[in-house]
Amino acid sequence: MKYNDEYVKEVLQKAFPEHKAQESFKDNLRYKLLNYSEEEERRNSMQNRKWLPRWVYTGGSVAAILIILFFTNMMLFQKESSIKDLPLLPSVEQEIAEIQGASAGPGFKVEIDYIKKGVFESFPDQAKVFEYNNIYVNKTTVKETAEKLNIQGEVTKEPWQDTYTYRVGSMDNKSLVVFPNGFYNYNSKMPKNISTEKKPDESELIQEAELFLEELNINTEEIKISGIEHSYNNKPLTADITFTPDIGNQISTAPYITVTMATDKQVCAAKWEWPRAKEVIGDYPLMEVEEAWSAVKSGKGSLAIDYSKVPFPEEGNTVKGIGNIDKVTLGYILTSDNNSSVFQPVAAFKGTAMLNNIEVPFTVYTKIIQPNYY
Amino acid sequence: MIKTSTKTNNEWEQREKKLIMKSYTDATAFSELYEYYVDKVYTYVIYRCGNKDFAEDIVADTFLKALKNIKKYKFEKGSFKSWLFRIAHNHMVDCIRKDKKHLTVDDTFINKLESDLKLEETVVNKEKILHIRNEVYKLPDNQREVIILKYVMELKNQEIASVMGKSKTAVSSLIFRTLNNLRDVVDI
Repeated sequence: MKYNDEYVKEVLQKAFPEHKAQESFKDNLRYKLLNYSEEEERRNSMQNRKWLPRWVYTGGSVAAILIILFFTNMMLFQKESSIKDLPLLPSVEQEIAEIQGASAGPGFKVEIDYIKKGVFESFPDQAKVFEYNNIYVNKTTVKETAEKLNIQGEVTKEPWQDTYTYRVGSMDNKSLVVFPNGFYNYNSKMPKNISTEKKPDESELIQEAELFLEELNINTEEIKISGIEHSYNNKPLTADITFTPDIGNQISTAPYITVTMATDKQVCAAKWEWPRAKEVIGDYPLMEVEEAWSAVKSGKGSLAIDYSKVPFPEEGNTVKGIGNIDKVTLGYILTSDNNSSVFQPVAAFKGTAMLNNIEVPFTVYTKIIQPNYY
Repeated sequence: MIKTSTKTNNEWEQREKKLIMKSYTDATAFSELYEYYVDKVYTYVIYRCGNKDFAEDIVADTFLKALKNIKKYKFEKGSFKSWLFRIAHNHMVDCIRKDKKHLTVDDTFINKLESDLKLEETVVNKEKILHIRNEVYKLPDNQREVIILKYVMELKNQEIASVMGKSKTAVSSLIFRTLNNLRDVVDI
């Protein structure tokens, strides 16, 4: 779609005319700037030291060289000297807390005393951080997607709880419902007379699902399969194939796309939260594993655990136990703020907890990118 | 926004280069750069954050940082304007993250906008402009920002990319998406 840029500019410049700062503010700032420079000049002036004895200059020079050498070594040691101008990242803790809160339910808590078992492998010096274009939805984008799915009809905007949805098509045949946060839900009428006698060949299902993704313009070279679930083990009817970006060990649910395939290899449903484009923001320096481990030990880690496997507490609403951690890996989590969605690495410590005499696997996460990038 | 001819722009670019070099040692040279850019930076910041006090803090810190780091500015890496806007952008994002309350649009700013509108010619125009402003303010921060930088501040996509810390492609698609969203609700 082409826009008349000149017209858009004219209209927006009328709507947002130049907004002048108050004169008193500008005068004060001008004064500060001029004085700042004079102070700097005074500080740097060579004339101020003419009366000092020669040994002060010599001693000062030697001290300056030593200080420079010291700081050069410090900077090399901290690995961060070569990395500058990287954008600040959204907080990791907030995102993890939301994930845990949603899974645990109100008031229910699991408290684990973490114990290190064995030696942790070290992380690389840097790891890539990715930015996703936030998903914004309007009638045009919904219409475009519906056309790719061969769904005809008007796109309607309908109220839904405290928000709204875009809908197109009919539930009797094919329909697409899209939420303003970018969650898409596609449904197609289930094919009749499907054989449920045996599980279909998974590679064939995957192949068909990938063709479906290509129709949606999702690049299948940059994704991986994170799971296949059949509706019934003995008499399979459908299989849910979930794809995620092919980047490390993904911890957050999104981005994802789940394609539901009938056993006759037809797509009968799909749901997805899939950003449109991905950009590498840069290589961010990482902390040492031991620093992340210290953070976990001091209570700054966030727990992810399958709450369906956690036993109920004997009293109150908190289950306590001891967790042995034997492995650490880099995991990726989708975080966001007002500006963007950022897919960033975290330190993921994995182990098994003993809760009321039941063993439950868990992961505890904490940030691994150096703190000055937050 | 005041429009300038190409010739005037070229003349300013030449002069700007000299002023930047001169600013290494001469405070008055930097103050000339300040006079030229202060309202532009202020316009960008106030429309991005909608809070007068917050905008003044950001603008003041932006110019102090620019003066302190003027020797680090490299001509070959982009325009001085985008360098200045990038300092403002980074500082603003930092402050907003630290203190979310600044995101509230204050009354003084809204009143100022309404007094601007009294100058408009017709009631129809006035209503249309108010409608556009409202819809732009409903956009997510990054979309509002890209629109302000592109059409109000008249930065090129490459310059916007440098300001917002994104790639040029990401900026192009963000602009396209923002215009699509706006076109759903306003006639532009």
